Amino acid sequence: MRPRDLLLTFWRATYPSVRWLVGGVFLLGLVVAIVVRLLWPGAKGGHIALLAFEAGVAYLWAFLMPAGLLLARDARQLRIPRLEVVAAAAVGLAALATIGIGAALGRATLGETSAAALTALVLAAGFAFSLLPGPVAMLIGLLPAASDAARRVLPVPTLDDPRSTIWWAVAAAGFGVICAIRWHGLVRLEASQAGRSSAMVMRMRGKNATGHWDGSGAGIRIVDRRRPGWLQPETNLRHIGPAHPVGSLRVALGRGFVPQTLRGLCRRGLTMAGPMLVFIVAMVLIRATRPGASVSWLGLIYALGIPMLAGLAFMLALGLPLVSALTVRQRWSTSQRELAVLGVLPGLGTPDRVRRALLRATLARPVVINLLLAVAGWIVAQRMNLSVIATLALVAAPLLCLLAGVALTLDALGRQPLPGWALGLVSGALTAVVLISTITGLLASQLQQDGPWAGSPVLWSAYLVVALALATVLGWITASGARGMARQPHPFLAHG
Amino acid sequence: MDASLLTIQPASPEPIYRQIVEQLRRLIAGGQLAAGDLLPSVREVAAFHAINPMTVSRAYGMAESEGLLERLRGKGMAVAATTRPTQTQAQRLALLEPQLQALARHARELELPSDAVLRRLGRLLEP
Amino acid sequence: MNAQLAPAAVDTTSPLSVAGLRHSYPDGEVLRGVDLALAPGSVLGLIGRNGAGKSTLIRAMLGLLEPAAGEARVFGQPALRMDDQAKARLAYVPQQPEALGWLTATQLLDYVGRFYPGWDARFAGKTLERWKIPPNKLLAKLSPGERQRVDLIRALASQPELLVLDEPAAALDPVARRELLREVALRAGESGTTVLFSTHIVSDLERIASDIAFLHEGKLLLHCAADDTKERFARLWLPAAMSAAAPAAALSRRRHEDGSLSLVVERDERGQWPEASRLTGARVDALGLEDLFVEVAE
Repeated sequence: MRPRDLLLTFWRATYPSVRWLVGGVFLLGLVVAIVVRLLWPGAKGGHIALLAFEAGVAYLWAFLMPAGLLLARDARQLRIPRLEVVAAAAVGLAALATIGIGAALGRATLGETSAAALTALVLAAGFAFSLLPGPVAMLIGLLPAASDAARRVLPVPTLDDPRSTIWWAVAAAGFGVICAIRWHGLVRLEASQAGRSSAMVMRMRGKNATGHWDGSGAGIRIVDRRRPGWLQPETNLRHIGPAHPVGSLRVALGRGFVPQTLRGLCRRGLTMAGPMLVFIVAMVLIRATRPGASVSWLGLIYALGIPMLAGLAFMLALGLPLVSALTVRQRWSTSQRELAVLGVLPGLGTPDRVRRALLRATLARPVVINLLLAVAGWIVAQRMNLSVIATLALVAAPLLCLLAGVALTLDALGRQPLPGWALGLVSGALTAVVLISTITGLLASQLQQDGPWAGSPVLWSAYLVVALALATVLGWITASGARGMARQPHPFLAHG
Repeated sequence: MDASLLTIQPASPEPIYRQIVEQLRRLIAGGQLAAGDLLPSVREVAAFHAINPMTVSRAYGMAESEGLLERLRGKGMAVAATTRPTQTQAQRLALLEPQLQALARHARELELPSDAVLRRLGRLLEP
Repeated sequence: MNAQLAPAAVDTTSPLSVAGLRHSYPDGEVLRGVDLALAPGSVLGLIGRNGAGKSTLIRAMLGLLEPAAGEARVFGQPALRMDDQAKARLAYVPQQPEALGWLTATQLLDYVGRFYPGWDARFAGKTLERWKIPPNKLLAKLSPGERQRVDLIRALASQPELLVLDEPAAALDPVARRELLREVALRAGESGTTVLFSTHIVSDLERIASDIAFLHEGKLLLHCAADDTKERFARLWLPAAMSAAAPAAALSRRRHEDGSLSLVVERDERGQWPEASRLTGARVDALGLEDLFVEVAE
């Protein structure tokens, strides 16, 4: 087999959406690295260029290369001769190629050997991330912070210290060994146990790298089979039946819509808070190990708490409308599943009553939460005497999210939903606008002054224009979705 | 009589109701079913063989109109009391008709002279 | 009873009927003008190859998709605008039920049961036990066969007057399949339930169907009583020399390599096979449903 074919193995073994996304991110990292290097001479620019490239490498190896393992598994399961060796060889060759690019880039930054060692470390860590069980894999994400903290205790060299090359090479070899052991085990894992394996690569099978649905529905799992029983959600069936159309619809919509029992809510809270606790503990440890710096606990809580709250608000404001609209979109993509039950279920009432109940079931929470966040943003801005621009950003962001939730849900319920790329474009633009707004608000509240860019009227006008344009587009989507929905004889008709 | 006495072959080209009538005819002619014997209810037959009760009804109706069965008030279907005497030689011969026709066709296809076939058949029939 | 169906107006006395139904997906036309009406109390077996459009037809009949043309009615009401009374008399089991995987079997039956006035909770509980389905396991964790059985219990426990099953036996083992057929047959015979079920497993049909409809390439090739199908149609084989005498009206026509001809022919009004069958050398073979299906659908 020629090297070109070997490298193309990964490309062919992944979903198109995954390969374009991951390939795009990797290329973006490479391009950013080159541009930064060209525009920003000196050591600082070199470091940033290299880090941008390494971020792309990590992403590539965490999400695209595991396809090689799945291929090797399939080859072994199906008793296809040679293919398992080919998959392993492809991984090896890809690793050499990646290190080669890193070394080439290193010529203009740290030097070939150092850059090659760093690249090897990053790709081995990224690959290990995909092969290790979920909780352990998450720890790999904390490694940069941990090494930063360890620097105070252990003689960990800094980025441009010549000794770091040795460190990186040793660490890369360690991760390489871990990868080899896990590869050996996972390839031989029985099909019956594969479903319960907690390795990231097994959990992401059938879904693409970002955890989205692959489009065929084959990999979709509403109930995570690997989770133990006590961590599964627990449906609350108290308020269902013909007298409670909204509650009944929420049960049928699934995911976050399903009303939970108190126990179920606690469990869900626990699964969400768990990783956050680990993060907090890690941050506290990092701060605590820093000698000399007197750690003020109040200051720590303030420094950690406010960004965390802001992050949580960001996730709630943006995530809830998007996830619920995507869930609806998914439910309405086939008439084989829940729609087949709902379409012939008696007792929900006239089509108009069903439509109203459906809108309440799908939109109530995103709308209420975003209204609350908008009010909270306004109060914060008033209390802290933020500038008009920062206030506007804090209030407009949740309102835009609210509008997006309404627009995309109605679009999903309407007759002809947006094509996937348009949906991606809209949610991408929304994410960017909301992210900028949140960061601006955050900086303003943390620094008691506006962000560095707040002073530039050009940037702000651009932001406002984009936000208004986005609002207009969302309004248009809402209107066309509502029209499509009203024109249907009943709301449980799938698209296509 | 028990529903298991009947065998149903759904895949046969012969419709199920005909299979039932045919088997009743044989069971009665062969003496396994005597006059006055009660037949399993339509439901029992349908449930045992997982077939449509309407098919069983149709078979029973046909057997009744042929005089094989009679409906007893409150008890269901029974083998008709008059069955035995009316089983004339001609009627019994009629039961053989499908096999005889198939035999004739095979003989023609094999281009066998009829007297040779008849001679062989005669020898088979000798006690 | 006629194999050549003329487009008919929608039958309002029928529990389930369609007229002039057409539908297409982006990759082609699936239904090309289907007319079909179920008689009350009948068990109609809808048979067709994979991709013949059975599921699409069923969904259009129940108002779960909007057809490009034609009309579907359920209990006389337009299928797309059924009211709650009509829905309460109807039960539908889709192909490979995958809905509501986040509920347990007990929860699903509890959930659905609250909507049906005639819900038979005792039957549901009893059958769940008899069919050995873990009651408190999430549906997503059940095997496809178990899941299909849960959905069948859901459908049967609502005591429907109209039961629509899309490939109900696909994931069932032979024993479970026989039990399902028994249940369906008895419902039809005793409660007068009208049943429509689609399948490509012909032996299921032969036991319980009172009527048969062949769907082939989006068209209904044949719709008649199950017993009649076996008696009315046969395969006529003509040697090459006589193939010119073949009757014009035949459901299918296949020429073999040696020039001989196989046709599926129908008896005329007097119950006679076409003229050509009496030629010497011609042969008429009785056909089981499966053979008939294969001959016609090939």
